[in-house]
Amino acid sequence: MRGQAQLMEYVLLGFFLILIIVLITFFLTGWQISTTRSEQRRLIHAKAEFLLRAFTNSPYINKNTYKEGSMLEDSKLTSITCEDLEKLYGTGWFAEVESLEFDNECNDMDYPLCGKWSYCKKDGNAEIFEIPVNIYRKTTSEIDIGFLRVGLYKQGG
Amino acid sequence: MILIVLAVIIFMAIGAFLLISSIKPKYEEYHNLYVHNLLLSVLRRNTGYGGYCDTISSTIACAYMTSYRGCGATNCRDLSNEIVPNLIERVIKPTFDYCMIIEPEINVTVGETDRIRYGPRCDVVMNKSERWTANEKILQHEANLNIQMVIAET
Amino acid sequence: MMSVFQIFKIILGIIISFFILFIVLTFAGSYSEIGESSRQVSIMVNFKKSIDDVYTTGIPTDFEMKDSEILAYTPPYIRTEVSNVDMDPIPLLLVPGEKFSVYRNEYDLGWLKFYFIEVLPETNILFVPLGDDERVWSILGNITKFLPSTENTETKVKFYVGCNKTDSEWLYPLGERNKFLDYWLPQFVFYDVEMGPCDINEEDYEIITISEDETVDADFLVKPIDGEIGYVYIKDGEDHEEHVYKNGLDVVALFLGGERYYDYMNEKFLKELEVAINVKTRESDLLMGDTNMWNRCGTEFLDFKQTLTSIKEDVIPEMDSMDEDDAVEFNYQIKESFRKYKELDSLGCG
Repeated sequence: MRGQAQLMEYVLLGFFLILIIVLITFFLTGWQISTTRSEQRRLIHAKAEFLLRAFTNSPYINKNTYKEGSMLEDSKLTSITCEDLEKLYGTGWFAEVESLEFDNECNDMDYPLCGKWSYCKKDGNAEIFEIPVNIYRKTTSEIDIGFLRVGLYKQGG
Repeated sequence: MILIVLAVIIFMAIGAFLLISSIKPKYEEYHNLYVHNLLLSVLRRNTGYGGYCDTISSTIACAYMTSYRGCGATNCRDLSNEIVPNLIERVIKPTFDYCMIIEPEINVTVGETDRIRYGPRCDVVMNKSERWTANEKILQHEANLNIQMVIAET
Repeated sequence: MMSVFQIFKIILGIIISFFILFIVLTFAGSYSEIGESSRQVSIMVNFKKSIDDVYTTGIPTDFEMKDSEILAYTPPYIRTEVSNVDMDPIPLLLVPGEKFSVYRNEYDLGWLKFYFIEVLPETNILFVPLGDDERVWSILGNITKFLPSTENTETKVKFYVGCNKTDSEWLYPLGERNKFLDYWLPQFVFYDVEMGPCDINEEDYEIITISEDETVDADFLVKPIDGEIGYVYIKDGEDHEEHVYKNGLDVVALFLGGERYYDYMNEKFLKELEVAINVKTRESDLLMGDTNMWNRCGTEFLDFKQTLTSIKEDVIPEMDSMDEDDAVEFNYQIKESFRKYKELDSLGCG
């Protein structure tokens, strides 16, 4: 009897040791998953920052006399399309520019009395980043203020 | 005894893991870009008044250096006090508080005051440990002005 | 003599020890591999970020990689041991190494600014201009404009011109790009300095030979037709590969990476050219609809639009298999568009 009890003690000890090792394995795997998620978020932010900087410095939509950038020209914003921007910057994102002064969508008919431009927007979950920008009104040479919003679609859009 | 020690170590490790996963990452670069663009776009905006108050930056310069000068129906100091905070509040995200500080580049008292501050909760913003700052300069004939914008989460 | 129980303890102990050792070694092995891969991935992520920042801001920088992580660059992919890093959408010319200068260069047509990134290790570029024709010196300047300026980085790209006719081992060290272009090159042109072939250690320099005579023996030979277009001959064993170039950018792409880089940069440039033409054409139509703009610049807008349409419909379709005549036509139309855009700009409509 005593021998059997001692035997069981050792079997239990072995069992708990193996259980602890399995728990450590789960813990390490969980840590790895968490690190990967965090890295993924960092990459999303890096892409968003790239797109924000690219738009605020792009010669395709900025007034070329403002070297610091962030002076978006309304005629260029109205002329450029989603297809053009995707050729330059890839896919999986959308962008919006909105002025404080006017909130109607810009097209050939409403220009220049309009203040909203939208590119590559579609249904889907997106993480959105916004910065203030200036909008140069070409026909009146006035400088307005507004927002540039960039959204990154989850899983490539 | 050994088992107890092992169990304690494991629980501590799990605790550390949970603590580290709950820390929110700081997106410094995005916030720095945001505050820089906020300051730049506010300063460059036209006011609609023309003359000494053509843009926000010229209005601020006028308010500091020659505050008595007329702009529209008022003087540029009063106009600056009215339109600058109003504009910033229309533009800034609701999750941010701001403080804009205008002072001369060299420590001289020129005009009426040493420094102008705009922002409803400047003291709170300046005392926050986590805040982001942008600086610009307005070049003026007698004294350059340093403009500093500080933002912090509410 | 040992009891059954003692034997049991020993066997159980051995089994559990082996099990623990097996788990530890397996995880240690895979985690150290993951650790090393993570380190390499992290370096490449930082490298890409550095390139992104230079592309968007235009501020040059240095970057250092120990142990030469980059195996090769086959545009748009940077190949490493761990993965292939896609550098799209940024147009990138890269020469593998360990310590780099990262620089944003541009091809400025006024109405189009084509930005591209040059990533080069420490490099000495030796120009060997043969003959006294001004076209030789003109293309030399054009090529230099499309190489990076490293005045603001620690990693340097330096320029040399050689060799002295009386001493074939003597060449002129002329510093970095801006000083070379702004100060030294005009001196060489003004004083009509003649050069001869070089007899130097070719391992220390990357050599560009420029001559109107295509029979000159050189690894990389540029034969100008005029100040902008001509032929590049790249030695390939006993033969030479021949390529038509239409501007200094084509020469630089061929010089840094051969036909692969040349095709890649052409594709990138043409894509942006088409986008710019579409945008500028639509913008011209939009602005012509405004009475003030029409009164100010109506005729100029129409002229400008016509040139852009001509480039899009007549010039671009010929670019895939460009010959000398196509290159001449391309440059003519580009110059015309530049001139017309300048007119628009001077009237406040640009």
